Amino acid sequence: MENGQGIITAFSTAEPFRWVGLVWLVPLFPAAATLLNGLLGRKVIRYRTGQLATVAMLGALIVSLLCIWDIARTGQPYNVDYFIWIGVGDFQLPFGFYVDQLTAVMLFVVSFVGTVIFLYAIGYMHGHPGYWRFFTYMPLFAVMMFLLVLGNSLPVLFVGWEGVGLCSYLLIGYFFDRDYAAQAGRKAFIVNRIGDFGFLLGMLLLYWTLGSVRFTDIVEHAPDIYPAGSVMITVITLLLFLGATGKSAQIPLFVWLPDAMAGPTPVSALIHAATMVTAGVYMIARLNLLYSLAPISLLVVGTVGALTALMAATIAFTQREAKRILAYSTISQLGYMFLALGVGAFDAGIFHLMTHAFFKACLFLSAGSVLHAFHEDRDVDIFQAGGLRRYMPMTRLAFLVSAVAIAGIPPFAGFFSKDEILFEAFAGGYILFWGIGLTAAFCTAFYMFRLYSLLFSGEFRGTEHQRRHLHECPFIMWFPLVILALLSLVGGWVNIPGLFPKFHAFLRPVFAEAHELAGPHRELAGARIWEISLALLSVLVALTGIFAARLCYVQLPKLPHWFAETFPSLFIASLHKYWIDEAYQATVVKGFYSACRLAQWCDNRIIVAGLNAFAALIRHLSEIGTQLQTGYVRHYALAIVIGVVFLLIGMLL
Amino acid sequence: MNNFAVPILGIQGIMPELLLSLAAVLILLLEMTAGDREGHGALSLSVAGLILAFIATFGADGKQVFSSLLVNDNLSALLDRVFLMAAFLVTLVSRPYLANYGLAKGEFFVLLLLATVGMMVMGAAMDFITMFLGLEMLSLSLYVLAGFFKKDVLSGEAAFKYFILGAFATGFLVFGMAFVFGALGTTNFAAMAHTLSAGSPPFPSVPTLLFGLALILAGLGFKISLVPFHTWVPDVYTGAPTPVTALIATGSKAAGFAALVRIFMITFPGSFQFWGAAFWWLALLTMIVGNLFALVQVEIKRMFAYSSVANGGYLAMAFLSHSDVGIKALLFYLFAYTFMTVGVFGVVSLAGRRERLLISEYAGLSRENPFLAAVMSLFLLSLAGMPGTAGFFGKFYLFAGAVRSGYLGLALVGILTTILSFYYYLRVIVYMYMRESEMPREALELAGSGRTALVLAAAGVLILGCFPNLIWISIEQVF
Amino acid sequence: MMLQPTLSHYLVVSSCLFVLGLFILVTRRHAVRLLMGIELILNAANINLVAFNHYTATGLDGHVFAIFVMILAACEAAVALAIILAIYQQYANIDIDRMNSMRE
Repeated sequence: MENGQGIITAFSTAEPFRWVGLVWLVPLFPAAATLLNGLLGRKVIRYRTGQLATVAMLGALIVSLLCIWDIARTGQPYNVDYFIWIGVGDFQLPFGFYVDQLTAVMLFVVSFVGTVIFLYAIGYMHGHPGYWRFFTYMPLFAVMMFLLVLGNSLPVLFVGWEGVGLCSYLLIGYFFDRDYAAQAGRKAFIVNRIGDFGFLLGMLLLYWTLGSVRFTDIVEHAPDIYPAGSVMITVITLLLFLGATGKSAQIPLFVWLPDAMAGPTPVSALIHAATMVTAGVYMIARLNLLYSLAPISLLVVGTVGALTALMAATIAFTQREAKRILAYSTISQLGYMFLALGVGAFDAGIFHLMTHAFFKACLFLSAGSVLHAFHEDRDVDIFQAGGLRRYMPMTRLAFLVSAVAIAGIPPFAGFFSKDEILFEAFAGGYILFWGIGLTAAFCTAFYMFRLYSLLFSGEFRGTEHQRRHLHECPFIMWFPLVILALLSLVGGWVNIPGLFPKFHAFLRPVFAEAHELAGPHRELAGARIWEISLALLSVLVALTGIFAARLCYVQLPKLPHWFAETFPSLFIASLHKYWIDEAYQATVVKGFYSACRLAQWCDNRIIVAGLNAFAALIRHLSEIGTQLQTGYVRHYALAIVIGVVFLLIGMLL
Repeated sequence: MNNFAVPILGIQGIMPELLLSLAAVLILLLEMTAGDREGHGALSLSVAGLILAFIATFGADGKQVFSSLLVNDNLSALLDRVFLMAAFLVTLVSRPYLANYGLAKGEFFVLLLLATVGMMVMGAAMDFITMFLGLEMLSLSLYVLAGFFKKDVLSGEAAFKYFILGAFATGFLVFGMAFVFGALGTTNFAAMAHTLSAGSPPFPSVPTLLFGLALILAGLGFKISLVPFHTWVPDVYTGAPTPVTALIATGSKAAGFAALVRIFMITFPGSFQFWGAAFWWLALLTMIVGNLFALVQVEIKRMFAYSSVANGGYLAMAFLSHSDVGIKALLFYLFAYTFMTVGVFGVVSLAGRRERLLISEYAGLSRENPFLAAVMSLFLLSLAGMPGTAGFFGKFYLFAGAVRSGYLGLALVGILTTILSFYYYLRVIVYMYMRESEMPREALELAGSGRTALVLAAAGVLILGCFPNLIWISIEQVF
Repeated sequence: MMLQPTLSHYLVVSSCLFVLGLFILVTRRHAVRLLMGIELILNAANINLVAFNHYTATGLDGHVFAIFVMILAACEAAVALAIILAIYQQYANIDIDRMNSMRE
């Protein structure tokens, strides 16, 4: 680590050349695409905007791979300041990038999944009005996401953070002429502002107490400045976590994500599943040292993660729309990641972030392909679908692979990452978290195969008109599905405990210090035995979930009805998402509106009346003035004389 | 006698001023010979002159020229760039604006260029005589420009009010300069500073000097429109042709601050203890009155007039902080303020063949011309201090400087009044985007040079908002 | 015995002129009279400049300054008369109290 701490001057000749020095090209490619598409998209480039954006993302992917290869080869983090961004006296904030193993993973996820989804979107968005607008915002989102993961200080990260939020807002409201889309955009915007407020406050507190917001300085000085468990560090980390709950849709700020599905499906896949919503996880992993100094905050992170994982998974039981179920699934899986962070297993959290990006993107894109077959923009009611396996075999295959992956069946990717989180929780002594996680794993397997069964098994339940139009998606759409499905299969093999623990070895330098601080809780007697038996248990649980779902929705379709009639309260609670939206409506939104009404009342009664009174006073005075004087110019001249007299008195007395 | 032996020729020291004057003369010649009816020739000549002058400002060498009448240092070069940018943007907006009224004549551009020369002379002056000369060049050109619409009642009235009150303030200024001269025996700034630092006569013992400085402060207070010297602002801003208003609000105000910095910060730094307290009250009043009165306006130019007064108050706060950081913040804000103010007045100038005077007339602008509405929103958000725009960093530096110099109360009032200002800035955006026009208007076409000016101003606002250091680096070199 | 004029005599005269100018500006209604008031103020400054130069300074700064002030005062007068003429064509009157078409 020590070599990467100092500021390496950009483009300095003294340093030996490193491929990672090209990292500035990564955001530049999509930035160029945004610029070109934005300026020339409507009239000149038109339907080639999609290809242009995809090629730009491919360029970013290639450069990213070079950077990752360099980091893997040398093992040295790379820190570079490009220019002084803000400077007032002794406050100098450079704009620069920091690339280490953690950044490398994120770079890979963003650029790879991004490229694949862009490719898919060329087909999916074909024929939509505002095609060029879509491919102007999407690369812009990529730029902001790259800034977020590459920034070498919190403010740079924050620029990316706000930038992805803005793009998300613009893309959710892509169909801005439809009321629900505009409303969903606004909801996401407002909920995220609450989180950002916490983030900003945490950042300011950090600057105030530590004197710097650069990651290298934080790593260097934080242990000296904040005693472990001190109040200040706890407050800072909790405030930052509030920001993370907003962006990553955790309790209590998760309500915006299901509504965000109003955007086009590639947006849901890229922004609201694979990349942007994981920004909170990335941020906490990046600041792992701060969090390991604040055990209370870690506990809060873990608790919120575990509860979110379970709650979102149970809500997903009863929802009727495909994308909405996937949205709750995303919230639940993000909960797993926070659970991992909370128990100090940062590497497991990042591992799950990566595998989740693969299979969740694949799930969303498959759902998108179903929507495409239904000629539907918004969402599809799964009770009006069914039997699609005959019409769309490729889509079905991709969906099945990624569903198995998310359910956690070996050797698919989700098994390795999810199981590791559960094992770390267990090994760390967080038995309760482990229990919740295991329950949620059952729920995950259940709702995922409920979704699969209702979409692809059985007979088609939609209208005859719809049935005649059902078709497999074009090559440009199923090809990305295949790539992602493949990765959902093999993505987990980079870290097979005992045999091939490469991923953790790769990330170790980033989290070494935090692990040291967190204490040696990772030594569990007979770890290997435990690990294997726990893994067997979770596979068993997942299989139970799958079979239960198949039983309910294929073999015995009456069973869910019986369940809903026998336990109506549970069913209704889940169906209504535990009334959380309603609770927000009743408290926050109502409160906000009353505050607005109060403000309006104040505006009318107090401000306007006050100003009227004030204006009347001024008018009255000037009327008296006009009677004494005779015209305005002289009035003005008199004011000047009064000013001069005031200055003379002030200066000479 | 050395002063009068051989006047050191310093042509290269006044190159920007010379280039502008040359352009002005050429426009006059063109007007006489070729008859440049639409003002295209005048526009091109002005633009060429302004760009060349801008390039020439990079030749600053810190030397004093013409027997120490002018100085060519980094401060004057930086101020020159503010003036030139303001003039450049205003020139681009002017031609389509004037063409709407059939008045795109060469003399408008000549006067605009000469006013700019006046500002630049003021910014570079090292002597009361040159400062006065620059001030008069600036003011006389602006008086005529304000009354450029001879057939228009408001324009004539604005010109007359501006003239009477401006000349009145100049009277105070000259009277004050005479007293300072009497106390120190010279009109040259360097010589004055030298006399003072030699210790004779010590500062407090010279009431003549203080009396003179007080009157100078009042005279310049008129230019920067401090309350209560601001009374002319709403009427003149409303009545004058809108591009001229933009120049008065930016270049002329910047020139006033330039003179203040030259006299009170560089030549008489020790005088602070005498004017500080009085000036504190003026800055406070200016911030409050400007924002409060802007709140109730229904005419857009009048609202921006009071907003400009309020911004003068923020600048005065930075000037008051009397430190390097304060002056740097002031210079930065001058850049930011120039872009956004010329921007809003530019939009007002071009939002229709006949100007829309009432704020309510801006309803539905977003449908008639989305570009105009978008840049207008950008400028308004910048004036309100939105992060990501020039206004944010401008205000950030201003308030940081004030807090650092111990003016916590003033900074607090500044922040509170800024919050107040959101109301009237955002109201315009609400009208543009959320209200429909009562009488439907047709889509609006923008003339090329006007669009260029707005794009440039918007780019300036965004670039300063994202990369404040681009300007800050050259500001750091001033002191 | 002849009274020898000292600096303070000149200052008294100039101050009287200055105050007269102020008074005119604040009280008169006739546009041309306002112009005269401004001339008085500038001339008060001129008297000061020349007197100070004579009694306290060594160079010629004050004289030069005074000449500049005179020149520019002439320019101001020219511009002002042009503006007043333009206004006269509008109002057929140069009573400044008529000019209040702009107010809050």
